[in-house]
Amino acid sequence: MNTAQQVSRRAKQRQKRGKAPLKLLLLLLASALIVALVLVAADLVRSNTTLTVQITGQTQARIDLNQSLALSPYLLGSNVFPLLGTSSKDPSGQGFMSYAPLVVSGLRSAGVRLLRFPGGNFGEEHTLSPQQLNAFSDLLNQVGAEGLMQVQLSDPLDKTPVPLTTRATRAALLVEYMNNPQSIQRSVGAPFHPIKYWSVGNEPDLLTNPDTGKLYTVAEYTQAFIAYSLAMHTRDASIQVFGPELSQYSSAGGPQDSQGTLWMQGFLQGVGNYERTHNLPFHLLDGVSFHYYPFKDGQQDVNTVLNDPAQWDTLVPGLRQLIRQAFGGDRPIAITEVNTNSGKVPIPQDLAALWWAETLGKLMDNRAEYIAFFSTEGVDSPNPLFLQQDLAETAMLRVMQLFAHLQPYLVPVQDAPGPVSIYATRDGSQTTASLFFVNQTSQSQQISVQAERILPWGAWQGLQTVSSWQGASLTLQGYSMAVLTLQRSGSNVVFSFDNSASSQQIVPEVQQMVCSGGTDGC
Amino acid sequence: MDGTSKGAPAAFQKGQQVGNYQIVEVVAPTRFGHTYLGKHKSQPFQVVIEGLLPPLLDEYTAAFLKDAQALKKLEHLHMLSVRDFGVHQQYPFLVADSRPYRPFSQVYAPKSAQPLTLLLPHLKQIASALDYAHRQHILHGDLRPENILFSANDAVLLRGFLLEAIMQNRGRLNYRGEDAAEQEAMLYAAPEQIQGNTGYASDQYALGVLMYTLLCGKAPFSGSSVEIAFQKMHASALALRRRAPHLISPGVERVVMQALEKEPERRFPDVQACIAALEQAHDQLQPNQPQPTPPPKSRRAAAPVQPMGVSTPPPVAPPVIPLPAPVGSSGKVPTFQANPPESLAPSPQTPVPPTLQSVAPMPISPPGGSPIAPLRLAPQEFKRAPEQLPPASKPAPRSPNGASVTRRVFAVGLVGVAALGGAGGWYLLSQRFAQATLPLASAQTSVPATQITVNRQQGFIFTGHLASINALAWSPDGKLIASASDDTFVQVFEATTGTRRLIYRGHAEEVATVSWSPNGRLIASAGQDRTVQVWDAASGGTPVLTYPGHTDRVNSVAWSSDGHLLASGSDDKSVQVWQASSGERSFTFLGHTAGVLCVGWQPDGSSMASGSWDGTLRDWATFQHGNHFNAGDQIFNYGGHGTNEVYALAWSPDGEFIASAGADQTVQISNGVDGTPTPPFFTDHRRTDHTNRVFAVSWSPDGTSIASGDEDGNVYVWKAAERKTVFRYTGHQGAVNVVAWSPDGKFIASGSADTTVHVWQPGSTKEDRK
Repeated sequence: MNTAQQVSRRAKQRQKRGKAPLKLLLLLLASALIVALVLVAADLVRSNTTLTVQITGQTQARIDLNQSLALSPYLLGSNVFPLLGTSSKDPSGQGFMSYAPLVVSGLRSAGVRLLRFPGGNFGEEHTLSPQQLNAFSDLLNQVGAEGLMQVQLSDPLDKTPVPLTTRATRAALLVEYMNNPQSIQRSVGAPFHPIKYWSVGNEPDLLTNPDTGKLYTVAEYTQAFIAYSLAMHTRDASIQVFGPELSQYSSAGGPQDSQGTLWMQGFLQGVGNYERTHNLPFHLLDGVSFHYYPFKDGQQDVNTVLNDPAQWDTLVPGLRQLIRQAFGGDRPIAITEVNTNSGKVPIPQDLAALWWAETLGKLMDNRAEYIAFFSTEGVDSPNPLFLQQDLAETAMLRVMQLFAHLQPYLVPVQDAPGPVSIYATRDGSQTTASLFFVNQTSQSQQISVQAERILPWGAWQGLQTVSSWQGASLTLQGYSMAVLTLQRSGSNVVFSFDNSASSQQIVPEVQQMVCSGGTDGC
Repeated sequence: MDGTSKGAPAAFQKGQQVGNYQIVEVVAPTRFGHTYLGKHKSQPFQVVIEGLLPPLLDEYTAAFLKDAQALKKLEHLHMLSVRDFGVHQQYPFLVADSRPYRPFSQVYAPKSAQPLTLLLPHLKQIASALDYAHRQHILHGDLRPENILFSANDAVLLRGFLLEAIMQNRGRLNYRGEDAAEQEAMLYAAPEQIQGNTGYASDQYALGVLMYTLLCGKAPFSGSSVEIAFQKMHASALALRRRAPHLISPGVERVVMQALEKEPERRFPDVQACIAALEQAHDQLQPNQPQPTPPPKSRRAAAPVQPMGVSTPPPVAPPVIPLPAPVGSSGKVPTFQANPPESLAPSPQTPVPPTLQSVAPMPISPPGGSPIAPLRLAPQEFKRAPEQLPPASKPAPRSPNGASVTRRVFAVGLVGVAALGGAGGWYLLSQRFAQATLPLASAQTSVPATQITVNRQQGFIFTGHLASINALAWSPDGKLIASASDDTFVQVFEATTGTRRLIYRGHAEEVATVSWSPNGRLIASAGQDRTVQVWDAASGGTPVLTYPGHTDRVNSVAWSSDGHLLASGSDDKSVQVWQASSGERSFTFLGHTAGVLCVGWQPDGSSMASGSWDGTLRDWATFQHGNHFNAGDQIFNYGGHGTNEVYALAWSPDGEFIASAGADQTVQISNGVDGTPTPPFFTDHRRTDHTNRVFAVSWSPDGTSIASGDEDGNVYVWKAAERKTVFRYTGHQGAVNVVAWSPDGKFIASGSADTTVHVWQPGSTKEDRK
């Protein structure tokens, strides 16, 4: 090898040794870039799909909008009574609820989609007249709601009670009347609104069986329910029948009959057994229903009232387990009467509204399918949606008006224990998210909602604008509640109800505020 | 318009100008209005004007004028002639001369027996006047004491001829006259007249009542108008004789009884023949019979003759100056028809007096024109061949003194009345009914029937009801079927096609029972709402009457065969019999210890059977049964079903037996006379036939077959005599609650808890048909 060749080889070797760090550097830079891009991408995704809620004194809550569950459209319902001034088939049964435009518009503003009729025990004590049925159909049309009708389990008109088969036939004829516009029972031109949801009896655990003169047993009611449901389906196979309409039910098991049988368990097993052993083209039971009045009259302890809604977190899952055991699958849960108490002395309205908001939220979280508040108007205790005097709107209505602004998909809220409850919803396209806040304290609470960031420069405005969600912050007065609606690439809106300032007579309206910036007060 | 003349204002007022006459004075009310004393506006004589109520509808004006013109033409020594007539401000009126007269009551004191010798001249004068009118093709139609006056020379002056136009007008307006007058009119009305089949023999019947009353000193019938009508349709001649047997010689009795025969053809050929026979009997009076006594001259002399139309109060009678009411137009038969269909009205041009066979039956006018319909009898003969007798042994008669013969007479009489009443008449009536347009809402226009084939014969299933069928009733003409359901409706549909004709919505709760009146016009229905509702099927369900007498669910209702009475059985444990026209209760049968599930009239109406939750079948007398049972007494109590409910009963067409269906899975035949149990019919079939409760039973019109329906949805048709099942229908998918044979016996309608009515023909062989 000559010298020149040696020099050239060394030079090449030096060159090679000089490029290696560069390559390494380039490799490192590329890796870093990839990581950065991944982080940025992840941050972008996260900031568009996850929100964080920071409330003073509470741990930060995360809301992952990718996790959602469809909510029942019948979460907001109410009991309505026969129209004021109408008579039942029995002269003693007089309608006592106003169907005035004020009530209709109020129900519409509250997003009420389900009206239970005739509400309470009226249907067991009186027999509805065509006039009352027609008025109800008309009300449904005006409100834009679906009906949930009770059929009579008792036999109030007859001196000698008619047989069970006849009572079941009467229920079937009621289905026929409501759901067949060509029915020979109907008069020409009568208002028509088919009723999809039906329930058999009202609080059978407290009812007297006309056949025995004693309180219904679980077996007797189950037998009656099966007979009713079979008969009712003959007139319209598409209806959905609910039961057992118990006066109460709790995670502890609920009421028992005179034989010591637990009402809910016994009923579900009885109907489930029948369905399993009969090849029916429809479900006998389409909704497991009961009533809920947790308090006695005069309850005013805030903590007691506010702690109650948490029961739903155990009650509903437990009931679903019972349903699965009985039927081998799920059946909807319906709370067909719900309010603070069933007595004649209402608890303070603002406290009741807090309870109602929390209860609705919990029921929404537990995905109860049908809820009917008791009641709309005509009875002032427990707190209704409208008082009889001047049809004044109540705080209970305000709660429902706020809920009406929520979106149709529930988003679970993680890590959100605290005095301010958070319930989150979004729409189907993830362009809108609505968060419901309930301040269970007497103190004002600061609430901040931001798109969640992975990278530490979350506060940098330039990057923050990459998220399509606009952050928001608001101040929630003590015992008040609000719905914050975030819209992608749009303005946020706050609907708030100042429950703290409400009184029994004058309840403030739900306030709406459109946010112009991320931190300008909302 | 609906009302009575009670307290009704007079058509004219004092001083008012009516035609050519001025009203001087309102004299007195009459059956048809008021009489007035009037004077001619230009002539110096007084007249008696009868203003008739109610106002005349325009459609009857021409007929009235025509009838009155015919009446005006009558001239007879013993008639009070009509001199003028007209219509003033829609009130029709008749004018007669104001002549001295004495009312009937001044000559013959009420409730006092008169010697035939005294009566005979007057009876002959009456018969002479009637015979004259009949020869002029005019009926009197309202012969009774009020329409018989006596002139100053003691001659009879007959008046009060019925005008058909007036009767039709009253019927159309549902106008009812004074109760007393209507009751008297009913007392003298012939049975066929009550049915709307007035003929010349009807006047003879009225003459017979007059003879009986005068000779016996009391009327042959008593009670309310409806009760009198009922007695006329059902009381035997024997019963009439028993009321006053010692006052009439056998010969005279024979004459009077023949005049009082229920069947017109059994009476004398005419009134002259009747009087001739009476005169002959008078001449043949036996020495031991009451001899005629001299006329009570003192009484007659004491009664001053007063000028007709003058209100000078007579010593006894009120100063009534009734007017001669005109007769029906020539050849026309005046009727009591409340609202006669035009198609049924006899042709006014017919010159020949209509015979009973040719006169269409018309709805009965109740005693005052209220819309009670005519008697409707089953067209079938009740006679049976001996081999067709259901039970092996013929039951003993209920009454040892010939009651069974009486029943047979009843049956034959009823058949005769029905047959003579005219199948053609019923055909016309049914045609009219069938053509009536019943109001249907749009929701009712669908034809809820599907055709089926049973026993190779076409039938159909009516699906118009929404709930269990509880009762069925064929219209008497067999063209329509009424069905009662738990859906609270009664529906009427065509028996051949199932096309719905009517939905009756009057009940607030389940309808348990339905029954068609014998004349096919009215329907009675009842049920859970405790009411029995009578409504007019021909007018689209117009309510006629609601009977509120029960305090609990009414399970069964049944019309008497003459259409006057209704019986209803209820969960309140009572069976109540009441007048269909007024709802006035006649009887309440209390004896069942549980609710009454079924009721059924003995075909001759003499008793009422009822079945109950208490397991008994009881029979109740609806009028006097000789010396054995008073009206209202329980005749027998059949306990063959043990403690099991008796769901249904059916009388055999001859009234000899009762078939009862019960919860003991049997149909049993009991003796309809005394309740003697016969062996259960299904003794040989229990294992294969009814294996569950039997809810329904129906006897075929010819009496040979029985159909029974059970809880399992089967209908068995079996021969009553052979006790052999000949057909089983299994088309129903639920319990068969009711079965009913069509009037012609060809079809069976069965109603079920499956909400359908099946109309099908039973087969003649023992074969299941599905």
